Amino acid sequence: MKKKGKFQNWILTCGAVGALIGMLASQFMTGGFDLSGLLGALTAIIILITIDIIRNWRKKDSTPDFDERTTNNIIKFYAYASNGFILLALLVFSFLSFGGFDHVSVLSVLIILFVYFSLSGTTAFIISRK
Amino acid sequence: MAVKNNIKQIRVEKGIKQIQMAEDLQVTRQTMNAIENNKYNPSLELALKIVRYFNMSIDEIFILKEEENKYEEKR
Repeated sequence: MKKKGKFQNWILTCGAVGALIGMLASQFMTGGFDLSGLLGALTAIIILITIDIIRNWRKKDSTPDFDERTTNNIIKFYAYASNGFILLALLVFSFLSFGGFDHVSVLSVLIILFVYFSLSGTTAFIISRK
Repeated sequence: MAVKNNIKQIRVEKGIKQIQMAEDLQVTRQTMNAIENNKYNPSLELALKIVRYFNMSIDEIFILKEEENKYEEKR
């Protein structure tokens, strides 16, 4: 049977290093070097590498993190969650417009989107572990 | 659920641990547990992998319960 590849255990680290290389390349190509952006990216990379190290240290067997059942569960969850979110947003904006609100600030929409992505992401992670 | 399986009995008879089988088939332990307890029907690909893993015929491992009764009634 097909076993997991060597790099599959370090997928977050590989992604983080790839993102850093991409960011550095784009900065060199455009000519503008942004130290704050680089420091932020380095912090994110350290966090991702730490997550990978802890995950690999705790994992004793060579079973995959995802398989057909967990993938199907996540797809099913996102189908319900995204449609539910659109329906909820539609209802909220309908009530607001009927209530006499003509304008909605972009910041409040961004906050709602941020909350949705955070909650759905966390729930999808929990579902993938079940 | 219409499809039942004898995976747990066969696995125990062959002395294979659940985690070992999950590793060999490259599925999570939770999925292996769900399949054995008839809570999840594997895809055709995974079902065929299980058949090849045990080196048995598909009807020795998977049983279509309800449909069998329907066919018997028609006969």
